Amino acid sequence: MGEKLKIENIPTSGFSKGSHHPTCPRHHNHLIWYNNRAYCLGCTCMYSGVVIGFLSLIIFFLKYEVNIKHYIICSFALLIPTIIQPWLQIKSFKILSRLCLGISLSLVSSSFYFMHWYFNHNFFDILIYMSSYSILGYSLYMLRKIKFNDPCVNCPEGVYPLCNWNLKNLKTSDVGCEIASAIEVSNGKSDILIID
Amino acid sequence: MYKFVIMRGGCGQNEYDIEKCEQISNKMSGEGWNLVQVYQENTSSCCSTKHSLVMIFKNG
Repeated sequence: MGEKLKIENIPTSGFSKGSHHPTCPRHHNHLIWYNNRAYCLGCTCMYSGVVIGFLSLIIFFLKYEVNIKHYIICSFALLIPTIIQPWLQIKSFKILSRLCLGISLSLVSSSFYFMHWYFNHNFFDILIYMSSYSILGYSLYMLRKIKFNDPCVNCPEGVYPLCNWNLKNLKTSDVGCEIASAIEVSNGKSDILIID
Repeated sequence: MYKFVIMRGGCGQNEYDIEKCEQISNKMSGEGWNLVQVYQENTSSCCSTKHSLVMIFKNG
C-alpha cells in the first residue's frame, strides 16, 4: 500500500495585506502603490467604485428626478470597460474599468430597494433585471478566466510560489526548504506546469 | 529530476479542482513521474482565502 501524502502549507507568501499578488515588477499592472504599500488594483478600485456608487445614488435620488430606464441602462453601460479590458491591458484603463464595475455593482445591489419602493416596479421586473445582469456578469467572469493576463507566464524568475522572488520566503521554514531544495536540485531550470 | 505542477487559486480566480489534481497525477504517473509531495499556498483576497496547490513529481 502506498504511503499517504499529507498536504502541507507553504509558509508565508510575503504578500503584504491587501496586495493579493506578488509585489514583484512583473505584477505592476495588478497593484496600486500608496505610502510604500501595495494594494490589489482590482479589489481596491472595485470596492472604491462600490462606495462611490452608493454615495452617488444617495445624492442623485435626493436631488434629481431619476428615470428607471436610465438607471438600468447606466448599470449595464458601466460594464462596457470591463468587457473591453481583457484586450486592453493598460493600467489606467484597468483602474477605470474596475471603478465602473464597482459603481455598476452598487446600482444592481441597490436595485431591489429603488426599483420596488422608488420606481414602484413589481418583484418580477426586478427578477428579470437582476437575472439579466447576473448572466452578463457571469459571462464576463468566464471571459476573464479565459483571457487572464498572468504575469508569471514566461517570467524568467519562475512561477509563483516557486519563483526566485518567493524563494527567500520558502527558505524560512522547514516545509519551504524542501521545495527550495527541489528547485535547486533541478539546477534552477525547474520544469513547472501551471494549471488554472 | 523534479517536475512541479501548480494549480492556481488567487485573487479573482477559482480554487483548484481536486478532480483535475487526480487527472494530472494519473497522467504524470503514466509518464513515469511519482508524486512525492503536495503543498498548499493560501492567498488572501478581500472576501476569502484562495488556495493554490503545488504538486512535486520525481522521475523514477
